Amino acid sequence: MSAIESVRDRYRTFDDGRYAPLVKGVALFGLLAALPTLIEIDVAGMELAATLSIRMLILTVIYAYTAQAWNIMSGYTGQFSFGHAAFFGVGAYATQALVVDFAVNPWVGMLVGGVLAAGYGLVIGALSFRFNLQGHYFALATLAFAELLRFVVTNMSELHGANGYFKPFPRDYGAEYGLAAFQFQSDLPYYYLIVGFLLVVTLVSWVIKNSWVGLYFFAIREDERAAASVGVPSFRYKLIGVAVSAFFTALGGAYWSMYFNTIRPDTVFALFKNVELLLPAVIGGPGTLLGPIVGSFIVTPVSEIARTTFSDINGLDRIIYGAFLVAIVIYSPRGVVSWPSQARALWNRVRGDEEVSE
Amino acid sequence: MGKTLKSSTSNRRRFLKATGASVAALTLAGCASDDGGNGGGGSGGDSGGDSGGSGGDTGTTTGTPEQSVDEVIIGSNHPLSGSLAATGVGMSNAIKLAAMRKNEEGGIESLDGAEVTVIEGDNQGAQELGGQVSEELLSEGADVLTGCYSSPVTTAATQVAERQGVPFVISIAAADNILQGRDFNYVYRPQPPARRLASDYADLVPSVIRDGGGTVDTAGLFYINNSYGQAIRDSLREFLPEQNVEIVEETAIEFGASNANTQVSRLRSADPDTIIATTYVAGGVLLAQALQDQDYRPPHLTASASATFTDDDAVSDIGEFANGVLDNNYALNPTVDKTAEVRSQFLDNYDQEFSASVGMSYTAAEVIIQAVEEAGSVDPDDINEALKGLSYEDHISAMGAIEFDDQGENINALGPVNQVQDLSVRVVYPEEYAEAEPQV
Amino acid sequence: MGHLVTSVAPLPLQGGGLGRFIDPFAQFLTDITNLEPVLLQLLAFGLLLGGVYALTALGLTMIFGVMDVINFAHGIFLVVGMYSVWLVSETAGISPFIGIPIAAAVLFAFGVIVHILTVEPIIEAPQQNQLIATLGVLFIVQSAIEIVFTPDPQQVELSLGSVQVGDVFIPLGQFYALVIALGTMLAVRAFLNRTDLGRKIRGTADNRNGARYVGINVRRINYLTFGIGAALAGVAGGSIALFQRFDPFTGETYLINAFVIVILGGLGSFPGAFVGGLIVGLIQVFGGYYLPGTTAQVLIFLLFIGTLLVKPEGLFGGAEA
Repeated sequence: MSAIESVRDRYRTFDDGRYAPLVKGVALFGLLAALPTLIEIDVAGMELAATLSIRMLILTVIYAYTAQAWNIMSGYTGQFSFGHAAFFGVGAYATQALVVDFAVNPWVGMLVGGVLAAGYGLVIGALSFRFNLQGHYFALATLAFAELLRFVVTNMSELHGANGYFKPFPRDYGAEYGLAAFQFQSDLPYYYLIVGFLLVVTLVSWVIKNSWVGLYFFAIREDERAAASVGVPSFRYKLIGVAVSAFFTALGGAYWSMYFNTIRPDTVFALFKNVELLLPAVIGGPGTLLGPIVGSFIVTPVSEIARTTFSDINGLDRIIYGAFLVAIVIYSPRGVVSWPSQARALWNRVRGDEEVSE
Repeated sequence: MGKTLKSSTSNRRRFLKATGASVAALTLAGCASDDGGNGGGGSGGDSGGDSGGSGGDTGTTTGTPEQSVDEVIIGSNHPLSGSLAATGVGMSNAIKLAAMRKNEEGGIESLDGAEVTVIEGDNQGAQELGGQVSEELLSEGADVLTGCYSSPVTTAATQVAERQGVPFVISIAAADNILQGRDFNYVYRPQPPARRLASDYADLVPSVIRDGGGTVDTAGLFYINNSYGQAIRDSLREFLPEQNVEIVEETAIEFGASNANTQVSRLRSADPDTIIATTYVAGGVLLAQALQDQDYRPPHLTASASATFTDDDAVSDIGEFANGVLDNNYALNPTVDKTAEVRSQFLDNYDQEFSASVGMSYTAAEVIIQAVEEAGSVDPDDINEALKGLSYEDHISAMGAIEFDDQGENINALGPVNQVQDLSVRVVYPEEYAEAEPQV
Repeated sequence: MGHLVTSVAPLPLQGGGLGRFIDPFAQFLTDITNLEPVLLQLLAFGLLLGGVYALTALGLTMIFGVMDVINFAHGIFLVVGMYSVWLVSETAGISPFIGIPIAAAVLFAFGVIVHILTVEPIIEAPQQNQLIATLGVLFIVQSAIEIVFTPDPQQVELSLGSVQVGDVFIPLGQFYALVIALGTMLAVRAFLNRTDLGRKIRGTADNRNGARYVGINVRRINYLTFGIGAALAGVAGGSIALFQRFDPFTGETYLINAFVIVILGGLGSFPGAFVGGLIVGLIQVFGGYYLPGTTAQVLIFLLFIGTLLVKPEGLFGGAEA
């Protein structure tokens, strides 16, 4: 047995163990938690922080979080949504409107936002699934629901129209800087908070994946009619998928509003926001647990590296980024997470050829 | 990473290079990684540091007070790519022009002729990048920051500056809330924000019309349906009634719309004494077009903080029809000799048109330079003190001495009344800044 | 003098509560019963705007209908058309009207290239991949235009003005766009129905596998379809350039409504796109006149959703293109 094979065997034994997911989870989140320190490490006069500052790390984890939330619906049940900005925006707006206008603690506002978003998701789902919208049509419907919300909010002076909200100081709602206020004075606590969010949503995603709910979800994704014919209540479970996904996405919107200080229809309900919410999941591997996280850690850093490297010509970085997106999607349709298995398949094919020729 | 651009002609060179350079740049991409070292030391950022040039790395000078200072670095945080770039690039160029002119006069006197350098950062008009770009400029040694045009971006950018204790002089950003109630110590805004512009409209324009014998009892609003237009609209609603002007109609146009026909129909039905336009350049052009297409012009055509009617190019594009339009918007002071010089120098060196936003950014840069002069050092707190106590009269904007209140707003910020006469934009009121008489 | 900016102004409500959405409808009905002349003007504006919208949707419905690909780069194809016409009239001094067919040709070639490079590899891929691939194309082309031509707005030097018919004004720029839309629609329809190639395209649209069985070279049909779709976008963009200033970002506002129209009219249906465009244009004009702000767009989205739910094939869907 070659060295690689023995390592692989050892890993497989470990992987079959009961505590494997726990160990993997701890390793992953330990790494994430350690990142702020890691990027500061000076290697030959260069730091990772030069290209990937804590601010960008936060952005990366935000998008990892929202991609994970998107994944619960679109990756698992296969109901591809183009309109998650609706939920994201609802979360942001609920949090801010309640804290600015009624001095309600943003954590409460966040939960309210989550419930509202889940409600909106149920409406969208109920209408769409009742009328059997699939594929492109469903995707466009979700997009329409998101854009609709954007125009409604822009034209509603009760929600401050196009001007949106500015985050107030903690003292304005009877709190001090810190976790209870959902505000900090430096970036590092924000980072740990969003890693915490990511932990929660990944846990939820993992639990779903390994439960019969997940089983139903996957069955629906693979072949809805077959699933229905063996008794999977597909309508109900698709709705559950939408509601859960919407709820968590809204929490992400709430975090965004507390980190970025100001929200407007143009930022949290933006057309392009829909794309940003799903991009990491698609690049990383939809329907997988790690995909959204891996995808985000590719997408945002690549965008950042492109931006800082090609700064001489304004706009060049976007060309690079666009080319990168096209390349990934063409050459890696099942996402980056599938690279190890693709590599293994390739390796086997190569070795298989060798054996034949011997 | 930003770039150090000292010469004004380099921008033109850059543009020409860019026309054929995309492919070349891609091949150079492999070599571009050499730049990696330069922007290093951008620390986790908020570890309580309050020194601006805390780069602690190679490359740019960091100007600690003890050593003799060779240069003062202004960090320009503007949208240089993306949909706001058309304005952002002009604004950044204005900053560079101000630096260039100062250097031509011998640099910062109180620092023995230290040169003013501008480093640019591109925030792409994105809220997520506003703070990041500020951070990068600071790590490259910026002593003072300026920017950002888009209000959410400015909010993020100024917060970074505030946390690091570096002065930030806003070039343009209209939202009132950026400074209101934010308790900022290091952020200043020479420009009149939205509410101020609207109140200036109400104070100035109706009196110009009435003094000229005209009637303005009713008004119809035409505004772009984003934060800028809505902010001005909201304030106009508040201030116009105080001047006995009743708003009888309000129409909004979507950003990027193809025509203003419906809005003009609606305004026509309401038959106001004046239409008040609040738009970016495109919206005003569409308005003018639709008015002409429907052969309608209200007794008075005015604007409040509309970029169109204070933009020479836009006005000449519209043609004859634009003559007579009164637009209150920040402007350069035509009664000062320097102004014409600045204008022509800008047009010689850069490709953009000279618009109100260019003028205001230029003034912001001058404020920074003046503050450094008075501070006699590049220590951020010294500069900050100078800004707090500033009473700067020698600037070229059409407003009084620039002095900041404790919120950081310019007490004497003003959006004077401009009028298009003979296809050029002239300041007509208040008299102390006027170069021509208003024609009603 | 003046008001020191102290606190943010409280925002007054526009009208009251729900009334501001209901009153307009009442107003509309009153105006109809009174046969107000403004209605005719609005009708004219609506049809003209609708014509422009219809034009922008033609290319999209073709690509969507035949190849089942949601082309998010459609907006930037429009922009390439705008810049083509502008370049042609700027540099060669040719009339912009002649520039339009040239733009179509340029876009055809461009479309085929984009197709070969980015669309063909993902034509059978899941739709999220298609979205991202076409998005990547959008970024690349948009930024390239931005670099080469600067982000400054441009315009074609053409003051078309308007003609007055009775009480109604007809802006000429949009009128020409409407005429071009009609003409193009009829031309392409004739192509699809009367020529051999056209029939092959329609066959592929109806049944991709079946088409292969009868010997149609589906690959080549794909190239052609995408090229024609892009060319139509070029015509649309060029026509828009006749009366509107543009920059690299202009296409975005047309994109969403183009999708609405395509669904409304029915995938792959040209008369559908035309009628759908007119409907959207009319809603936008009448809505813009009666409703506050830009609420008209909300109506359009409601109509869109309604169509998806009730008749996803669209008005003319299921019928031939």
